[in-house]
Amino acid sequence: MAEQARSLEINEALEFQNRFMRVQRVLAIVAVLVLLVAVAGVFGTGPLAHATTTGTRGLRVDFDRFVRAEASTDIVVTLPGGKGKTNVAIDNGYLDKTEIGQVSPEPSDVTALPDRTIYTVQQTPPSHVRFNITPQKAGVYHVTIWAGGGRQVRFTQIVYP
Amino acid sequence: MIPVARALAMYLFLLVLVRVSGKRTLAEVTVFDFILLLIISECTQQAMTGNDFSVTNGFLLVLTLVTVDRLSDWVTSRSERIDQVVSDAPLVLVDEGRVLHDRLKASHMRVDEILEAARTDQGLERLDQIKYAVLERSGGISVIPSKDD
Repeated sequence: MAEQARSLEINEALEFQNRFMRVQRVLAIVAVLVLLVAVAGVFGTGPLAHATTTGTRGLRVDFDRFVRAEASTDIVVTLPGGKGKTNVAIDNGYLDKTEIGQVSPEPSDVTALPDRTIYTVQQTPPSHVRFNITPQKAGVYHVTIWAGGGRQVRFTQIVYP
Repeated sequence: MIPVARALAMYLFLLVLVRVSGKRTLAEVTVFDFILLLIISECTQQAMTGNDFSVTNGFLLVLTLVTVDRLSDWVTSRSERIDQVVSDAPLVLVDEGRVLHDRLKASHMRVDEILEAARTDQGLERLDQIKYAVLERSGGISVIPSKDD
């Protein structure tokens, strides 16, 4: 219904506008908080995103716990001690939902088993194997990584759309 | 499904963001507003297409956006309440020559902006020549000059 501002016929909906301005102020604060949280890494790439987990017999994995779909991330597997050829395996449940880019050092062999894919690399201490991975779909990923000598580590990654 | 979902998500997010940012952003009043709107379009493009650059994907995205836009027009034409939520309402800033400072402040505006609109649209020189100034839904300012007696 039109309101009269003297001779001006106009529908200001003042009550709605006042309420909406309050909503705007709240949402502005929320936006700033979301930005701060993003800078901290909750949406990927930042101090809160980075994590390290240690599995059995000294196997260590550095990874980003928060990543975004179609954005690449690195998983770095650190093998304790030893020399020569060693195997690092990643479960196929994770690999089916991601794209593997570069693996460094380059594996001499890649073997696909029903539940995992094994990458054979030349290990020289300190041995880091870096997997560049691009998740394809949003979701919560539970990842298992195995290494030679019965070592195993598990971690969880949250992938945003 | 993915292209439609992406387009819908971006449309709704931008709708909420632009509504929350205030009327004047849409009017591209300042250089910052203009640059902001320019860059937003670049940011959203990749988010909608992803790695799919096919013609089919392009068709689906455009079709989704146009359909949602038409649908929102239809809904807002039938509901004044929804129209206000989606498109806002005009706000009188100068009433019978009197500047409503509390409304100016709430709209993050200054009297200078009203004077600029008065000069641009009506060729007016002073504030006392303005009878009404209305901040329209588009973010622009309409100026109604006082009639000379």
